[in-house]
Amino acid sequence: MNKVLGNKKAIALFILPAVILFTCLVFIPLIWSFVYTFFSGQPGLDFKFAGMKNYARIFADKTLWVTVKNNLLYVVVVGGAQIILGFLIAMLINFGVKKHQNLVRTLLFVPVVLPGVAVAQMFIKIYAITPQYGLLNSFFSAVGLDSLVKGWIGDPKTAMLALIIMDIWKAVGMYILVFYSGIIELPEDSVEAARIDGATTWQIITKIQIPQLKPVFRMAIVICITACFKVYDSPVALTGGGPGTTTMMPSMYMYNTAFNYAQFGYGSVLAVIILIECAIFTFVVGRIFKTKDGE
Amino acid sequence: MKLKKVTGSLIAAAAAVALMAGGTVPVSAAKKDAGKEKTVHFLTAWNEDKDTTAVVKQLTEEYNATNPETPINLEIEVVAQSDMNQKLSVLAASNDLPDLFVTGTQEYIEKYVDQGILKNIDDVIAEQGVTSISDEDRQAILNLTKLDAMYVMPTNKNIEGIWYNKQIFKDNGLDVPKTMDEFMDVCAKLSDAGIQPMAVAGKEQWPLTRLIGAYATQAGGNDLLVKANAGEVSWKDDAFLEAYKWIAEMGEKGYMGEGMTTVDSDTQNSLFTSGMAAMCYNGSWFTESLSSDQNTLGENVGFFAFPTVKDGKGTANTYTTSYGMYMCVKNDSYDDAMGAWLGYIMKNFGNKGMELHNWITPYATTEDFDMGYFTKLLSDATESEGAASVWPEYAMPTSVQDVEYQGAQMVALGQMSPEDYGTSIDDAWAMVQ
Repeated sequence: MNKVLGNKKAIALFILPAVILFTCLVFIPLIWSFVYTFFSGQPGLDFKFAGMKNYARIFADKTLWVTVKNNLLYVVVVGGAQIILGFLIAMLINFGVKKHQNLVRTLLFVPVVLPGVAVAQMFIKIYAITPQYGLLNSFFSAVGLDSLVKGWIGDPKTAMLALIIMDIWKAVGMYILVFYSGIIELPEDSVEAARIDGATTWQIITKIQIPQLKPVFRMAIVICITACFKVYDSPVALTGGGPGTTTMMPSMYMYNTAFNYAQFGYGSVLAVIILIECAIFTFVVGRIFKTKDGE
Repeated sequence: MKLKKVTGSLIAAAAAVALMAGGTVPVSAAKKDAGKEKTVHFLTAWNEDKDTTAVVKQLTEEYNATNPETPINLEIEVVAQSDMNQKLSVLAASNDLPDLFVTGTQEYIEKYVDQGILKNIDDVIAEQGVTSISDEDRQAILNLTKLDAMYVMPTNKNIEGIWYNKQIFKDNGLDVPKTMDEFMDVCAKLSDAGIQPMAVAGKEQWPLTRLIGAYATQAGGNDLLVKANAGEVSWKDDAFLEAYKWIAEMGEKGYMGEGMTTVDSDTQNSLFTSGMAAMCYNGSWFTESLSSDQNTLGENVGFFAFPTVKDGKGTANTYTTSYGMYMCVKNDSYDDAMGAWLGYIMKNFGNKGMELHNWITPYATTEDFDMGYFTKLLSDATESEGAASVWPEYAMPTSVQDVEYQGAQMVALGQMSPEDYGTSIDDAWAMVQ
């Protein structure tokens, strides 16, 4: 076995299917899409070379910058909440829940496996105001908070908040699991030693466990934030990007531009912008989490 | 040696897959070769028992019964109307548009005509001796599609106006409003009585722009929207600004109901048909809901044209008129067999549309039908029609249309000023020039 695993040709053979898939499904479409950014119109119909016109257009495109602003808000709030809540709840389960840990973890993870569209439909009913009040408005009405009764997803002031709450609820279970897996793998002897030395729980968490969980934080942040940059299904299903463009994300705008407006070139430019955002962010996170051993 | 065997097997497997893929024949081409049966792939937005699909399917069955030597095998593929543009984009990009498809997007029709993809329907009409479409309707379709020949087959003749609950009006001593002042007075009285004056599907955006367009037409004249779509008039013209201010006023006063931007078409229709709202702006297609069991109002429903506006240049009894989603024929798929079948469809569409759906279509009927109460309302309205008008997006590129749709919600919610809304549409048009 060691002979096989040490043989570079054998290694190449094993990873060949994955490389082929990656090349065909990721790398080639990436290059193809980049080439499209220099063309305008619709492939197969009126596709013609446009030079840098598509790139010049981004500066005059007000809708694009509205979607970027929406997305940045979403990334900061949803990404931040998912990581922080994921970590805190994982810690709570590990230290605070003595009985039925498996059940608690399962219940917290259930929203993660629900289809996004189904979750959105459920929240549409929760937030409903017409023809009948949904769960949320019924609750506010019942406790006398009539000032809070509103069309949550139809009001520009609250639509983004409604989307954020839904998405945090849906995905936080994933990060609870990620952090919990990291926490239970931590060596117990360093915690024991700290306790013997008189460290408080807060000191144990902040001085020992969090530093040891750095790789987990790095992985979770990269996955979470890049997912937030690319978010598509939940705003489409919940609000359609509305009201107006209040919850419109760059991915939705990119999709509409390419497939509704039949502007594949400019749509590809928008895709490149999202790619650059994710790449910049991943690089920044990598630099922040750079360990002493140069990882 | 072992590695060579493994590699060799992999290459052989890859070659086998490639051979199988290369050997696949498109279904339509294969079936074309099989005898005299002609297969027509029909991409539609409705299921087989609904709307235009039901009409085309039943007419095809009748055609095949009377033409057993050259039958048509109709392969129906259904795509949601909201996804139709994406589907057509992808198919056009891979040069795989279906033989027959529906679309309501002017931009796509123009593009396909420019590329020679669509069959000239005027030629089909001439070849097959079709006389069921009047010159008036044909000219209207040419005006709407902005083409010099008919490259589309209409499926409907819709007029739009305001449906109202007769009982609510009677109980509250209200008359059908003819002017905007009377209309706002009706809304105020209904609102004071605790009745939602109007149900509007604000979530879907286009019902708002229809109201805006109807007001602007009354304020600025029947050709205002045509001129705006041709770039001859700014979307900040005074008539438009007046319309935007009116929709903002309707929203501010709550005349369109609570949470209007969360209401979709189904909810809008059910609010009206269950008696929870007194009025509803809708088109001829609404007769299907009105004729269903969901309608608790029965025939206690009336229909009136959008009111006139003070000092407006519009005409009383103006109805926004459209011809449904068009059917388009791929040029490369057209042959004698398809021509004969299309001729049969066009000659009998009027009868079948009336029989199945109580539709008024641009295809003349040759039989007597009991129209039904709601279709009779529309027929009477058409006869008393002062003028026909277009809708705001009739010739708008989809990118501009989205800006117009999104802004309409914000104006109605008081989150965007009328001036900014007009500017946003002008700017969107400038980007596509």
